Amino acid sequence: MYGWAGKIARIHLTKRKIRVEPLSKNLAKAFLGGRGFNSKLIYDALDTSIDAYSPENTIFIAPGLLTGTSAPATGRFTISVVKSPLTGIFSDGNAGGHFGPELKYAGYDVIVITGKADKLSYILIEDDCIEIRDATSIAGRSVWESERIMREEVGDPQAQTITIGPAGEKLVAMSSVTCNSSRVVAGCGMGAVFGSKNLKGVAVRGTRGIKVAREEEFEKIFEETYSFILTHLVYKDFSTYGTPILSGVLSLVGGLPVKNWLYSTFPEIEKQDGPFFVENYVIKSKGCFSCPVHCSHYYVVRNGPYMNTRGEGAEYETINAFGARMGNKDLAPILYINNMCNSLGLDTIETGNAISTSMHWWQDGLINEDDTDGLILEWGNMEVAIELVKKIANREGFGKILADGALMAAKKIARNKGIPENKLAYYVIHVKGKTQSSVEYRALTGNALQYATATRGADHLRGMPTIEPYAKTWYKAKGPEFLNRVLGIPLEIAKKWFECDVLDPEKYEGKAYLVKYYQDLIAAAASLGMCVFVTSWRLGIGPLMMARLVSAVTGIDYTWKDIMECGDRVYTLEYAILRRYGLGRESDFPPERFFNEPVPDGPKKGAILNKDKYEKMLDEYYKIRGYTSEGVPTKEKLESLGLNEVAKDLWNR
Amino acid sequence: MEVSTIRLPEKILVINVEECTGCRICELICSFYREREFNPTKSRIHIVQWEREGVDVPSVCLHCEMPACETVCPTDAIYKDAKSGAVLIHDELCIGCKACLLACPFGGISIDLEKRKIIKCDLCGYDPRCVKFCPTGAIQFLKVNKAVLMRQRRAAEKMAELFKIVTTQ
Repeated sequence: MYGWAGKIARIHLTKRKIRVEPLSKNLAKAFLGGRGFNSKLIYDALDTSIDAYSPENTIFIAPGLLTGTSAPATGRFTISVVKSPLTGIFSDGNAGGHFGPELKYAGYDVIVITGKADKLSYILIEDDCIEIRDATSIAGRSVWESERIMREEVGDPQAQTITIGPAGEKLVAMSSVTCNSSRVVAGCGMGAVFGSKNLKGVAVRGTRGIKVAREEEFEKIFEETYSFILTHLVYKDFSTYGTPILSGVLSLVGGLPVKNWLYSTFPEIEKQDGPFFVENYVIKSKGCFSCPVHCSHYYVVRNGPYMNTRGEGAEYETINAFGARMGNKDLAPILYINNMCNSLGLDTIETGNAISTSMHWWQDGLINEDDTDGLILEWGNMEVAIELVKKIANREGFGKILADGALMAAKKIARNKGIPENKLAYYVIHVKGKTQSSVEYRALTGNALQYATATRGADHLRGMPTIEPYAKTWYKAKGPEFLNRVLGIPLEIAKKWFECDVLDPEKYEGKAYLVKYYQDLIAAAASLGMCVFVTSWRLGIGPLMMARLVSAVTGIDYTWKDIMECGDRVYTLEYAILRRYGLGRESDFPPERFFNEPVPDGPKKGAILNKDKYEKMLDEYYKIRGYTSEGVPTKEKLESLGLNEVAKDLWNR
Repeated sequence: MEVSTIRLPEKILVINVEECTGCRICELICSFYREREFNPTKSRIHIVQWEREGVDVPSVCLHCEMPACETVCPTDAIYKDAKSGAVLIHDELCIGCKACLLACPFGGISIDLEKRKIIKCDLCGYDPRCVKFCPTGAIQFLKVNKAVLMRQRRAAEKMAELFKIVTTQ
């Protein structure tokens, strides 16, 4: 096999048994790798009745098909679980860094971990040798310390590791898994699933190479994609400023959430924007494995109360979560909290939402000092936010209430205070139990549809149509050829968008085409190990370039339609998993507040989602995807994707 | 050793540590160009990383004028090519003693774990592939005088920065 490593390792922590099996060619061809493999293996092993913290819950770790090669920005790996402690459904997340390729070089396409170790352990993988090792000496240690100590113990400072911090060990449902100190798999409490299995992490060292089937063809397409990215019209901005530049950009188009989505303008946003960040705090750019974009940063706070805070990252999501969304106007405490979350092993989006939602409850008098251990939860009070991050990671006091996520906190507080649950839950901006990342989309119907139909809950990384905010003013004037050239969108699809006029942000009709494209493309990208950033999302690698890279690497001919079909297959399979979890049409809606409360300020003042029109948009989406009006993939659709077993499960029960 | 044989080459490899983002594209390009596979252990260049300090250091043969590896080689397998200035290995003379690995102060010598032989940068026939695909210019192949001027300028820029801070306070 070319491209794939060719092996799946299954590790049973209770029985301390390790089994290595060959990767099936059919699985490989149809699901590509990474997220595709994980979702398929989850479906095959699906037991919806298990508890998220039970030994039966299973972890899947998979690098992408292109991971380990020089194909640009393809070093990502996906961690999936059968049941997330945050959302109660399947979930996954991916990260860059250097762990994914190392796993591939060790010879594995997927690592499957189930059971529970009798004491805190870590897994060591050195090529063919897989060992379960004692980790009791690093119990309670931070991600950073654990990483250092594990490398020391393995005797290899360049070994790649994933670890959980104290938050994961304490089963915080917002905990993450981290590689290279700051590259984080976050989203739905993967860290807590590791913690529940007494699994502190995985260390890996691989010395095998990856060969490609068509060497010359690969070299050619590599050089083409590489120079395409480096000459892309947004390359300079994104490689210099990274995601923090979105603070300024989204603020201009009215897409910035402020104070838990109460407002969309923030006068101090300039001091949280990319240029301000880079000028005042950044030492150098940092890149993930095989990525020429290097959108991440190494930063240092040189003075003030947070002096000597040194770390990597501070993405837009973190900056908004602990900045405008919390009513905080200073960047330094955000960098400090970013470091805290990275070392404690906490997801910044989810943790930020738990705290900002609490501040919103506080503002409206739903909670007071009696609930919060005496903490004053006023907007922008960062000392309190820092205190809460600590409390959440340790499951202490009010932190214990927040540790299971904002939605669960609403339920707990309502029960304690004897007030109706809905009264508090209404404030929580979430879909399927996962709180939302930093986009204000009451004026962006495509974004609304995407967030609501994202298969792991309210998430931008599932296929957010990033062109929508700028479509009307910019892309629309330039025509389909421009979309094709700059964003890699196949001409056939781009033309269809123009025919159906789907680029109008406020229109509901035809939006499903836009959303389906991005969702399928990103499902494929996550299966290839490719960062969403370099896809049609921003830097323009579309399915055509993906197909050429995959064909050269594997020696199997893929067309761009095949790549999109692989994405559709993964997405539809995930929908089937959700339906087997009992989630129905009602779970595919944006938060109630966006239907009731118009945006009060800024460029999108007055914008609000319309329920009737949304229902029709959802109908159209299901129809285009080949699902019933309840959002169940039809028998014909499943069979057309080769998912015959799934069709049997869903339709012949 | 006859000092008269030492002659500065026209171009040299220049490492700009502050520009390295740690993406390791150079390792991938090197191993693919030389071994037709993607395998950092077979690369002639390696990025050593300290994540918490934010430091990434490209480690590669600097093609010394008086190579320690050449000096310690018991079979004269290592030699400095007079024309290109590259430090190269006669594979057929190499006995695999690894003395060069121990002698090199820059970690510029590696071992191919599969073929069990010493490998090192040979400047890809005076056109280093890693340089071509380094997205930030952290590794460059420059004419000697340009290289010297560039490093001088970079050092001077830091002094200028310092001067600005001192004079504005």
